[in-house]
Parts: sequence; C-alpha cells; structure tokens
Amino acid sequence: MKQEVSKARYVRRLSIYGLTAILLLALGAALLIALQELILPTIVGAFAAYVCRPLMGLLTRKGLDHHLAILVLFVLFGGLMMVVSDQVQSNMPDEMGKLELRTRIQYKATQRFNQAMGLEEDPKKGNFLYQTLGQDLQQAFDNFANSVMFNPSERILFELHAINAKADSAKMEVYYNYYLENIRNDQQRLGKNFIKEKSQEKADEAAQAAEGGGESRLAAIKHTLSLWLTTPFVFLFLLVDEGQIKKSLVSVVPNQYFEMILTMFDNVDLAIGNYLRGTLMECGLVGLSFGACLYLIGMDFQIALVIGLISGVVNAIPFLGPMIGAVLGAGYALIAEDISPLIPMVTLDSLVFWVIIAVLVVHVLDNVIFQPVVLGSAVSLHPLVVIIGIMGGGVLMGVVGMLFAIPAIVIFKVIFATFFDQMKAYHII
Amino acid sequence: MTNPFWGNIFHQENDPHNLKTEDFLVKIPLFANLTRKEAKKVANIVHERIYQEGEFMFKQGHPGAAMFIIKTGVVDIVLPRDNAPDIQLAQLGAGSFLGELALLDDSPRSASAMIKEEAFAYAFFRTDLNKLIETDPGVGSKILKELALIIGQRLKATNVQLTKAEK
Repeated sequence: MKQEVSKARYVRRLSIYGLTAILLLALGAALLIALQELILPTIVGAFAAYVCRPLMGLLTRKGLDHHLAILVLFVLFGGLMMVVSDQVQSNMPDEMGKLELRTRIQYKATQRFNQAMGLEEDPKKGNFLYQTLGQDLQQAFDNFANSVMFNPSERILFELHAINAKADSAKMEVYYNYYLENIRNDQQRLGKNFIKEKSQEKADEAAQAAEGGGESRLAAIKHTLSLWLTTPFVFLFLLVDEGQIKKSLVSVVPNQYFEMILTMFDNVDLAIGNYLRGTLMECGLVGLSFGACLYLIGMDFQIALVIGLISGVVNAIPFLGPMIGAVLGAGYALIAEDISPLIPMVTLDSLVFWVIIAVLVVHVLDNVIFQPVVLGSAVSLHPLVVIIGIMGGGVLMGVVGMLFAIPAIVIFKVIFATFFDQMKAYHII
Repeated sequence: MTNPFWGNIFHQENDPHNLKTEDFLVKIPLFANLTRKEAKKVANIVHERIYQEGEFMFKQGHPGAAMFIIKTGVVDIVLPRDNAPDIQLAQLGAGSFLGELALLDDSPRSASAMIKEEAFAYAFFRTDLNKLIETDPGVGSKILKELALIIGQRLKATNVQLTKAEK
C-alpha cells in the first residue's frame, strides 16, 4: 500500500516537473524570439561582468568595500562604454562624409590601379602584368568602380555639398577635383550607359531624401541607445549577485547529482573564465599593438586607434580576424591623403607595404608572446572545427555570429567534457 | 506546559528549524569564531538541501566536493560491504557536520552517509571556501584554523581509539 502511494507520488511529481519544464522552455523560447534585439546587449553586459569578477575580487582584497568595488567597476565600465561609443560616433562618417569617402576611394583606387598596371606611362599597352592579366583585372576593377560610383541623385547631393563647403575648405576643393576625375572615368568606362541627370527637381528630391535620412538616422541612434541601455544594468546586477543565481539553479538539481553538478559548474566556470579573459586580453593587446604600429608608420592617431580597436575585436575570429585587420589598414593606406610617420623611410606610396609589415609584426607578436603567455593552453580546438564554426556562425548570424562562434563552441566543449568526466568520477556512467 | 502563544515567541531560538542560517552556523565549531556578519557571508554561499529517509548524502568512493552540516534529522555514517550488511560507524544528528576533509581536496569519500530520518542540511563547497579565502582572507583563515583544530582533535581521538584497540 505504502509502495503504491509513493509510486503514485513519484509519477505525479515527475509529470508536474516535466510539465513545468516544458512550459518554462516554451516561455523562454517565446521570450528569446520576442526580445531577440536585446540578446546582444545582454550578452555584452553579462560577458563584461563575468570578465570583471576577478577584478572585483582584487579590489575587495585590497580592502575596498564590496559595494564600493561594484560602484568603481560600474563607473569604469560605463565610462569605457561612453568613450568607445563617442569614438565610434565621432569617426562614423555622416551621409556627406560617406560620399566624400567614396569619392576618395574611387579616385585613389583608380590611381593605384593605373600605377600598378603601368597605364600612366602607356595608357594603351600598360606593363607586363596588364598585358598578361589585363582583361580579367580590368573587369574586376570595373566592377569595383561601378559599386562605389555615385548614382545621379548622389552626384547632385555631392555637388550641392561641394558648393556649400568649397568656400571654407581647401580639402573640399581637392575632393571636388577627385569627383570630376571620377565622373570622367565613369563616362569613359560606361559610355552611353552613363546618364547625367541634373534637374532641379532631382536635386530637391535628393535633398529631401537626405533630410529624411537624417531623421531616420536619429531614430535609429535613439533605438540603438535604448537597447544598449540594458548592458550596464545587466553588468551591474550580475556583479551585485553574490551567488544567488548559481544557488537557485543548483537548488532544482536532485540530491543524487547535486555535488557532481556543482563541481561541474565550478570547473566549467574556471575553464571558460580563463579562456574568455585570456581571449579578451589577447585581443586587447593585438588591437593596441596594431594601433601603435599604424601610428608609428604615420597614420592619424584617431584613425590608428579606430582601426586598432576594430582589428582587436575581430581578432577573436581565428584566421579571418587578422585578415580583416590587414584589409582595413591597407584600405585606409590606399586612400590616405597625408601621413606623419615616426619611422623616416615610410612614404605615402609605400604605406600599404608598411601596413602589411605592421600586420606581420603583430601576427608574430600574437603567436610568440601574447597567445602563449596570456592564453596558455586554456582550451584548444581543432582548426577544422574552428573553420566550420566560423562559417556556421557567419551563415546564422553574420559578423556577430562569427565573433561568438568560437567562444560558444569552447563553452559547449568544456561543458560536455566536464560533464562526462564528472559522471565517470561519480560512478554514474 | 509551555504557553502556546508566548512559547512560540520565546522558544524560537532553541528550535533549529526556526534559526536563521547565520545564527545556526555560528553554533557549529567550524564557524564558531566568526562574527554574525562574517557568518552571513558564509550563509550566502552554503546550499540548502532536504534529504528523505534512505537517501544518500554522499557515497563511499565518490570524490568529495562539499562538507555537510546537519540542521535537522539523523544521518548514519556507514561502510558498505559487498554481499554483507553495511557497518554503521556513527550516527549524527542536528548540529553535526560531516565530510569536512572535502574542504581540503577531492580525495574519495572514505564512507557513505545515509539518511536515517528526513534531514535538512547545508552543503559548504570547497570551491566556495577557496573563493572566500581569496575575497575575504580574514573569514577564510578563521575557518581554516578551526578546520585544522577539528582535524587535529579527530586525529588524536583516532589515535586513542587505536591504542585502546591494540591493548
């Protein structure tokens, strides 16, 4: 009789737990879909809090009160976020800035292409390279030029902008000459397909579009800001937590597996913490050294800082990260107008070469010093897993997916490896 | 006979069920030297567990990760044997603690702990103690000192028992 009662209770308990788990999972999935825009800011906040935990330990060990340590870290994190967003915003070109940039890119790229192909000396024959691969390379370059060239509305906008700015800017005069040269090249390249529209109607339309664009840009910034407000709060509340989250998670584990799960939790925490903190430090060092190298070879401090920052962030993507950094640096080197190098032999013409040297130096530093010292043998992944992971991340979530692919794989690897180790240690399997 | 009204107010402190975790912990020798504020820090990191009769708190041979403190209930320390009844080594009640060696390393448990009467216990993990030593060395060293004393006392007691057994 007693056995029947306990069996019935067991079945009841199992069905209630099962039903609750299904409901919670469904609710979690629905929330994830509904609030998917908040996922990235939440992950960034949680990641920052996770990475800062040892720092908080250090501050409290130095005698700082726990709450004061949280406040110090919160202010530091908030300050860092503000500086980064300010730097990004101030270096982000507006609509006109983008047009200026495209003008420069097209003009400089055409100039470099002609130089490389020897078309400046002999516009018809070119050099050996042009004679051998000229047709294919010309086709590729034309496609590139078509992708950056202005459409009629953009031409009107740029001309209006040039008229307004020409009076007080010598730089604008240079860009306007680039623009005229680009137009000539476009006409030459496209022939009859190049239509020059310049009616007042179109100009008004374009100006209206620019105004509307400005408004929508403002709305987008507001929307992004409101989303990213989540980040400092997630950061703060996770730092304030003194283990309650872990305790409540562990409280649902049956007694039989309690010790095992908590040991697993701690091992995973240690391994992932070491990996993430190591990767962050490595990326920071790579970004800093690349930025410093770019500054040394004469790039503007702000530009070097921004390229270094982006290269540091994308360095988290194995193989592809350093390449993105190199493309960014070399891309800017191609369109640079003036440089002030601290190394005497660097010139504007050889800047791309020096950027490649800088990339190689940073790559060697990363492999010889940063990775062995900072990362050690934290978690190693097979290169094939890394490549498939990055491609999968890219397919699923674009650049963000590529950035988070490897940490996600590492987290799963550590969780599964520790889980099976502990199951064996506790004689469960 | 206790007055049911006043009794509930004035006798609360003696009933372990009603004690707050930190107030209960300072009654345990391992945490006896902690102030109430320090004990609260420990209370924040211990895990509360309820065990039913017949359940195992831990089993012999499993790696030790936590020390258990019994708040209510009775726990039997047994030595399991193949094809023979288990040998009961001790019976522990409210206020006792067991598995304290797990606070030092993860060597396998030397005996099993089986629940005799439904028990409410606190689990104090080695990793949490290690973190506490890092973040609050004062509290950590007090606990470690008491742990060393307790282990020393138990070693002495074992030596005495061994000598008696040899005689």
